[in-house]
Amino acid sequence: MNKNKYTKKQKKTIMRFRAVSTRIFAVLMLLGGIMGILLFLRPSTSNVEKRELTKFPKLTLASFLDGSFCSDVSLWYSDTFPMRDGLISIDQTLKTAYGVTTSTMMVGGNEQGDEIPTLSADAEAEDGDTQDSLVDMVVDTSEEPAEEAEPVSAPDSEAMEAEIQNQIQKGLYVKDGAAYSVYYYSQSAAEIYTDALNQAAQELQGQADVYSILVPNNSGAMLPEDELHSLGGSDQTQAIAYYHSLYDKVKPVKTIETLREHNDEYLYFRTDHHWTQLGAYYVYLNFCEEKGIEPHELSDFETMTFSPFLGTFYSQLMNGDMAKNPDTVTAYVPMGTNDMVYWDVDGTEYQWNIIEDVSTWGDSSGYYCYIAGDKPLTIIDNPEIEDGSSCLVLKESYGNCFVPFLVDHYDKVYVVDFRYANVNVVDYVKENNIQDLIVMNNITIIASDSVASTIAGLL
Amino acid sequence: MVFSSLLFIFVFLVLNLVIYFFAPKKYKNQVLLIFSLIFYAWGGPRFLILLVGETFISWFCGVKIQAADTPKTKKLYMILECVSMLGLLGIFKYTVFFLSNLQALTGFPKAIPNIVLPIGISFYTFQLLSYVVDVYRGEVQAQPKYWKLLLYSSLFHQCIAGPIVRYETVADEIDSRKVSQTDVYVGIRRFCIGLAKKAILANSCASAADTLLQPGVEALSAQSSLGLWLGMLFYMLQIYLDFSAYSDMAIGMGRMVGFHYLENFNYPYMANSVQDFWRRWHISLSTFFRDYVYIPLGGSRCSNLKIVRNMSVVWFLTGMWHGASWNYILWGIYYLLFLLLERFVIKGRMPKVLDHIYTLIVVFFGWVIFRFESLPELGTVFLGLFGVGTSGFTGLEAYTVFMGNIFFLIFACIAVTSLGKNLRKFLFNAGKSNHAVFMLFNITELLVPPLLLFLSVLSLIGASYNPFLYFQF
Repeated sequence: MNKNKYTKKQKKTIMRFRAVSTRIFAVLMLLGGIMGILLFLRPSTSNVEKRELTKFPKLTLASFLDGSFCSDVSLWYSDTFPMRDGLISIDQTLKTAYGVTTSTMMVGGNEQGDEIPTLSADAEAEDGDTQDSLVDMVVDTSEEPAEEAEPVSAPDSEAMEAEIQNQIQKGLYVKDGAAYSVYYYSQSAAEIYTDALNQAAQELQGQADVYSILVPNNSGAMLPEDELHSLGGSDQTQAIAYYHSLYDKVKPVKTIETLREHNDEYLYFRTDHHWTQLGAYYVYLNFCEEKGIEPHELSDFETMTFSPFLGTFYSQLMNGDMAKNPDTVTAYVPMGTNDMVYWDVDGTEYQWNIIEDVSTWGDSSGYYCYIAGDKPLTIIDNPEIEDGSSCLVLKESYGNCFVPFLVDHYDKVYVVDFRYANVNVVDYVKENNIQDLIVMNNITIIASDSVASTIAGLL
Repeated sequence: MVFSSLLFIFVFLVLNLVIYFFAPKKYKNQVLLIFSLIFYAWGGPRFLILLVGETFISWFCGVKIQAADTPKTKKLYMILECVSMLGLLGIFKYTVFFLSNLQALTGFPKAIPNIVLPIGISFYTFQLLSYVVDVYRGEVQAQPKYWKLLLYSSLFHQCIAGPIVRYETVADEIDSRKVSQTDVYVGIRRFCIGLAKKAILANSCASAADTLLQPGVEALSAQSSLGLWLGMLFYMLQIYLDFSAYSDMAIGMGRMVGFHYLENFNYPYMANSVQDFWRRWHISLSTFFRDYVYIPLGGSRCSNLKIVRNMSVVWFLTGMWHGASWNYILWGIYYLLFLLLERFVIKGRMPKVLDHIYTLIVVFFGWVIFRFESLPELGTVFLGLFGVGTSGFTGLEAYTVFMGNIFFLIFACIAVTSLGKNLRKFLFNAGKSNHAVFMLFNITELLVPPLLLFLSVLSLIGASYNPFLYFQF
């Protein structure tokens, strides 16, 4: 055999292999092409991602001319590709070969919060300069100017969700199968938020009390001081104290100090960005103290548990340690009633349970057991109390597991999720003769100008 | 439309290939043209006018130059071509840059118009310019049919991301090209390699780089020094893998239908000098500037002073071409300095091994300049790489990204070298006398393209994974 040249026979073999390869390529391409046009195979929602997938765009002359129609079609095509959830999970399995997942890690982050003004120095004039420039910087770099006067309508909710998610995912510290979000303080957001609450309290003076409950995120409540410090975010105890110092007639409810005292207990989920109802219970005790009412014992309530629960952090990180040690959701059913009514974004009315059995909903749905998740307006009427007492909770999802504890103290509990509601809350409180307005938020979520402005827009 | 999208692969390309191969021979060019115009219009149909218009001017000038009987007339049309092409490029690409600088200096004008950069304009404008210059020089025959010139300028293989194909390369193949079975296979293999380079390697590098190099001076100074180095390393890998992937896919798709485009990259990160790097990086652009700017100015056959002038012009333009921002100009000048240094000081006396390291370091810092359009960000990163003003030497985030990508990083570093190509060559040669190796060679030839296609598609679908885009149903 000639060592420098292939024989004719060998060349033929090469050609044959290549021809097979070409055919496999053609078959794969055609297969993909055919799958792509089987519209009925296309999913419309993703369970893993907890979202609706992109819809086919509307064709208008304008959207066609500026190219947005075509780019939306591309997005729709790949976002709703048949069998995507399965293919994504294969891809993610393959990507685990990229490297080693360490038990301690930091995902995203690498930011700096504004400096939190110290309470004593706040009055001093010289701090003013640096602070103004910090504020300017934040305002300048924020994507959009604060829309304070604009009432929030439903279509903005998606943008709001993205903004909120953005806030939470800015920095995730992962340790031993638990993720902790890092908090970054924003001076301008703090001012917008506290101004809005002050104004609401002023307008409602003599009519209703305004309570502010600022819930720390899990890093602030759960992590040891030195570890928390090494993450480089802003100090949540300081930040909450500073928010409180800006309040005038608003009644602040103590949170982080109490949660830290109990942080050897199961106050936050490891695989989800929410707190547990036990965490909410300790804050409920503080609320009762502030309001001057007698709280109920935990043992008074019946419980429901949902396990395993793999929440939002898990969906994002697909962390193996989390999967091995999932969370459990324990829900406390109010004594007076477990019935509620909620209205959806389109105004449809639903009868639902305050604590819903979600055991068949899938591993990522545990937190949806509380008050049907996030709804624009919910009303709970406790048949055991008929004294006309009522409160309104203005909240995002952190409030969901807190609301059940209020049920046994009021005739009526109104719940408004600021992301979906389109109502002036102050007017609503006046019209319905509500006595307590409880504004409850996670401190990370409101550290954004646009989120703070949205809340301000409702007050 | 971009190559690395499912819509392109499974709709556009499938339809294109099927219709192309079943179309009668005399309609094949029309099929390509129609697909190319759709492809271009996908990113916004209004810019199609620009592509069609620029091609019309160039076609007209080409025909007129060829028909002209006096050098003066020829020159006139040549000037018309240059003024209109460079004028349009200037208006669409540089107006905003020019006006905002003018505004910063003089306060005039008050409002700066918002001009969107038409996709691919830098590539097809240069292609058309090169065509008319070549006609003017008598190196190619003018294309008498307008639509065939439009096919040349708009061909979706290379229209929006290069390579800058010379008319002479494809002039004959537009009218008569043969496609063999080997052409189809080699084209498919090349396309799949390019797709995988983009969808798997470049996209993963981009995500790691973007994680570590967040925009904004504050975010950048909150990063650790090692985090910046690692982020820039990922960016350096990304930019080569991404850009060369587009060229691979273009060359591959061209080959499938019988076009032979020239190579655009030749393992630039294996270069042993900065000059060598530029012989291997974006070759179609370097040769464009060489043939149409540098040599007409006198090249290197003139006094040292003039050489310096000629090189300065070329590198200023090279910088400008990459983007309308000062950092790109700075980037061009940065390379000019090293090229002058090599030409007049080092003169090839750099010891071996060291020369590779030196080249990689120069290129690395070149990409730092290239990445940050904002000069304060650039400054922050530059100092940060040397430990000034960062959050520390290393940090948990950098460690996480490093550990989470350690095998990928090693693989990507190997992928930018010619190891894969050499391995194939080795199997090919050894297979001549060893049957087992021969079969191994054949099996890899068979498996590589479909496997890469499959993995790329997985990766593209995986990229649509976006947990809690809006958080709940």
